[in-house]
Amino acid sequence: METTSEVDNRHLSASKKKADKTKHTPPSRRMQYDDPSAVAKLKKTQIVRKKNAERAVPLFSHLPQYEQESIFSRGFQKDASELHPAVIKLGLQYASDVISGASSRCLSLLDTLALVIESFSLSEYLETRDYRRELDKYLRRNIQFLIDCRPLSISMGNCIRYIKSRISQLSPSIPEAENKSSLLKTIRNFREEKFERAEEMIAELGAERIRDGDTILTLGRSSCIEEIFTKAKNCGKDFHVIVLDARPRQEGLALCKNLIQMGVKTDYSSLYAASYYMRDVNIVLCGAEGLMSTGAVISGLGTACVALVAKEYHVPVMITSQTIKFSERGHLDAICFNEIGNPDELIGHEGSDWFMTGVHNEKKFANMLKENWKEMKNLKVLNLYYDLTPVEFIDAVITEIGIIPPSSVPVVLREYMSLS
Amino acid sequence: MNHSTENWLIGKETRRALNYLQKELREEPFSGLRIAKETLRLLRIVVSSVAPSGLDKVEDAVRQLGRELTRGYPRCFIAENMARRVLKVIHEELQIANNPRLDTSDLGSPCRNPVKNAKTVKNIVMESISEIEDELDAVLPNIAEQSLEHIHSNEVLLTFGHSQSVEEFLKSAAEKRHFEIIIAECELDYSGHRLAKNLSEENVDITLISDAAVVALMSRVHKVIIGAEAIMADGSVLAASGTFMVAAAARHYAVPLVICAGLHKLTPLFPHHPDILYDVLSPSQVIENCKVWNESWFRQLEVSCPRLDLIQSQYIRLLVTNSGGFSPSYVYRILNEFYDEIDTFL
Amino acid sequence: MNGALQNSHEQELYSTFQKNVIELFEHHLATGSAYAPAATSVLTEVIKSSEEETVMGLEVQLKQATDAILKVAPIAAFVSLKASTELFLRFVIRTSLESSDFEECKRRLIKRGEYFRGLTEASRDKIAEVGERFIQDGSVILTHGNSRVVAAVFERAAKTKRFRVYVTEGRPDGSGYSFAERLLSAGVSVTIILDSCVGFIMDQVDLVLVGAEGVAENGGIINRVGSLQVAIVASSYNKPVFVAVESYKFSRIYPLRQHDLPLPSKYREPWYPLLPEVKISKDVQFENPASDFTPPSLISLLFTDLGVLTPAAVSDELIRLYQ
Repeated sequence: METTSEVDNRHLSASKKKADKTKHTPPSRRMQYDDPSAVAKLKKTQIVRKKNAERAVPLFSHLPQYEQESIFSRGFQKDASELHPAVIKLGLQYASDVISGASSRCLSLLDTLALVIESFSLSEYLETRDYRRELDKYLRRNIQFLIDCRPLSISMGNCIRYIKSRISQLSPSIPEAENKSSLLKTIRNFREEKFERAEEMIAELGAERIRDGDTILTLGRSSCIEEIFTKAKNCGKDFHVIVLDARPRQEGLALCKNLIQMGVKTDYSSLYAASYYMRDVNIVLCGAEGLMSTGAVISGLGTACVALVAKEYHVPVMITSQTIKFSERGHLDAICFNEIGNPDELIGHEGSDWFMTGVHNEKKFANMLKENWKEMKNLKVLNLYYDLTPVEFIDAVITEIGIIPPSSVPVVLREYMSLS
Repeated sequence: MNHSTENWLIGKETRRALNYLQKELREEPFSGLRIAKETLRLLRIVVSSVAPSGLDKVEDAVRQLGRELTRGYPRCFIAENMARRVLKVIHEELQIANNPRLDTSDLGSPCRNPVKNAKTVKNIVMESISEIEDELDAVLPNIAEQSLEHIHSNEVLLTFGHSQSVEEFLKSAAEKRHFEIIIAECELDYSGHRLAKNLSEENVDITLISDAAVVALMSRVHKVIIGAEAIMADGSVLAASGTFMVAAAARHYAVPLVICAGLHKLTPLFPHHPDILYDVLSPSQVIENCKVWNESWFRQLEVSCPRLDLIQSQYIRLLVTNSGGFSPSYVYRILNEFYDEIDTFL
Repeated sequence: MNGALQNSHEQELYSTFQKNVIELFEHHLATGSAYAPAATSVLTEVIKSSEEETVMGLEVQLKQATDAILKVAPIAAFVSLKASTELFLRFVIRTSLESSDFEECKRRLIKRGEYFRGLTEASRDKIAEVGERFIQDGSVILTHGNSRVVAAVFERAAKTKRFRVYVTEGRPDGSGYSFAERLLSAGVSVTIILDSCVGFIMDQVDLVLVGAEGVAENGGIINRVGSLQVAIVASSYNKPVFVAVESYKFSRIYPLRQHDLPLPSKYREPWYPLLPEVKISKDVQFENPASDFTPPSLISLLFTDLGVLTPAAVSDELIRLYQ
């Protein structure tokens, strides 16, 4: 959930970095949606404006809460001709959750931005203008559209910041084509280093930690964790996986399918079975959306629950995360920073592909609220996306640079992530 | 005693009624109070039909009935509890009948005629069954009555799923005070939605969340109030699956966990056997509307759905029952008042 | 002059009386009785053979006998002996208040003493019965100390279940070895570990079962040194700690710190055998406590002859016993 303005500020400070390397400044402030002047300012830059949610949850008024509607239903606020078609497509995919995984969102962003940079040419503007400045302006509008579709994740913010800093480091004296190709090459390398190779390393490190006979519990579906299981299986390890899912986003069944097809013994259940399984579990392995400088983990809703139950049973909790997901912000809870989803996802069950149920299904579904829940004036439905798992629940973080304690996040940021 | 060779002490009619109740017990969701009342109704029939053949026979018959109910549905503690309570009354009568001196030496109680005929005994047992019935009728109002002592204005409460006691408790507080209630839906049966519906007319702000959001919101909650399926002898509590997570979160954030439950749920068993704790439903009951149902990989997937969670007593701050609020460490005392130790295993 | 002579005569009587009491007590112990029942038997016999004609006189005599017993009591049995003799004296006073006839009172006291002895013998069976239910097939159990009641629980459970027990070595006297032998002969699978190994194995353990030398007013226990450590590790791993203990060890003491406990006479002396190759300078100080106090917050349940109790129930029983 980064905003363009903040990405911009950081970019500026990055370009000035050499000048004042010793200066300590906090990370720029996040957009607060309960600040009227900030909202008014945002509305000017927004390309798509959404209707504010009718039944907003007051505790989360600092976060954007919109009615669920099509991006196009209210039209663009601004001239959309500057938007690249690939960006529009990506934005719609984000908005409709076609692309929703932490890594896949980031990878598709990098690919799309590469396309945008490739097709950008100064010839459409005055040739005398600065390539860097114009490209930056062009990208900013496209990224704003993506943010309007769905707030950026931490790793996406980091990627954009990286690209922007690279743009600012281009030399104005070199021909445009050369600049472009070097920029595209940088993005390719960045992608390869931070995602593909990183995932491989994480898979290797994680697989090493799995011993024969281990029972591993995981929540939902994370690409890194799937890689770890594949790698471990390929090494001939014999282990047992328990996949739990949390409503309303139930992605674990797809992981189960792949595991079973690999020949891994797999159990599946819902979050409520965590305490039932936990006494037999050796390791809890969870994916992450971002790691805060305090070592706290932002990840799919339910991770904190699993980690908490694991702590009660003294089961070690490991988090997998590429260092690109590290953030220098510190967070206390899942309230100050989060994303709010469509409340209707929590209501009713028809339309979903599959569904966890208990006994007496009919009686059970008779319980469920229907689409008309909004008629109940005092009822609000909250669909949170992320959980913040406190650092004391996490025993280790598997990253591409090794298995590190969560408290080392700021160290990694300092040592590895310097933008220059 | 082997079931097949066991002589039926209870009549045919009663057995039919018993079978019906066993069927009820297997079918969920059930109301604990209803089961308690149905069991008492059965006990009444048994006592009146067996009483003429002597008090010992009544004891055996009640024991048999309790055993049958347990067998029919091992994890429904309420039916057994009712049998145990009636047994305790019978034991006391037996003791007085066999040992009249003991009775007279106790100066507190009025002197009774040491020789008793079957009729008076029957009356005494029937009377005590009526007393228990009256007690059951008062369970919900008695629990609800205490709500204002625990809920103040503008408080943020969290509850998990639906429980009749909790609903009445909240409603009674909502009559006088305005507060906020966060309801975790309880994915096992989505009963949280029912609670949201039932409270929609009240003067409270309701936020419905998924179970997974409990930890995220716990730091903003002042009290957690939940119902229970059974209160165990060591003060721990059995409740719907997922409750452990809520209890652990509450303890982590030092939020008091309050359990609302009638004392008919108090059982003298200890949660030492995993069978007591884990009632696992079969996979076919777990996944529904499933497109993958017929795919070959899916058949190799183990799917489990545990029905109950155990919350150990150290997680619980207060038990609000129909006889008042007390701490889990005091449970043993009430246990001694309600049941005889020899009836722990029927 | 006359008074002094009478005094020395009394002194002599008193010391023979004490000697007799101690002999009797040791005789009971030799026949396999536990400390507290042995003491009760001695006190009952004192009443039987007493020539005193008043309750007051009897009381004085019983107190002398108690003092004699406590003097020879090993430190491990001190708390339970103190508790059971105190309870007996308490009962004497209560009975004397109830009946005015001294002979009748004496008869009741003797009856009570014998009843108590029978009760304590039966109590171990009762504890084994209630405790056995907490052991499942496949359970892994950690025990510390050398408690007869704990052994009884294991022996009973071993008749129908297969489980594994970790026994701590029990330094300094290594009592764990004989305990392990005893379990082994009952068919229990036993592993001996170092006392300092408790933290290492705790995550494999399902439950901890220990005995107790005494149970304090608040439900905490006094037991062989090291029990506190075991309970702290167990509670940090969320593993239940069960205590198998006879109710006659419930006592009205209320330790708040470890130093509130009685210390052995050799508390400051080095324990033996030290490692043979160790040569240690005289300036090094030793501390060698026999028992430690485990607070009730670390104890899940107590298996007693009164049934399974929560620590909070101990105070309840004591209040009723002494009221």
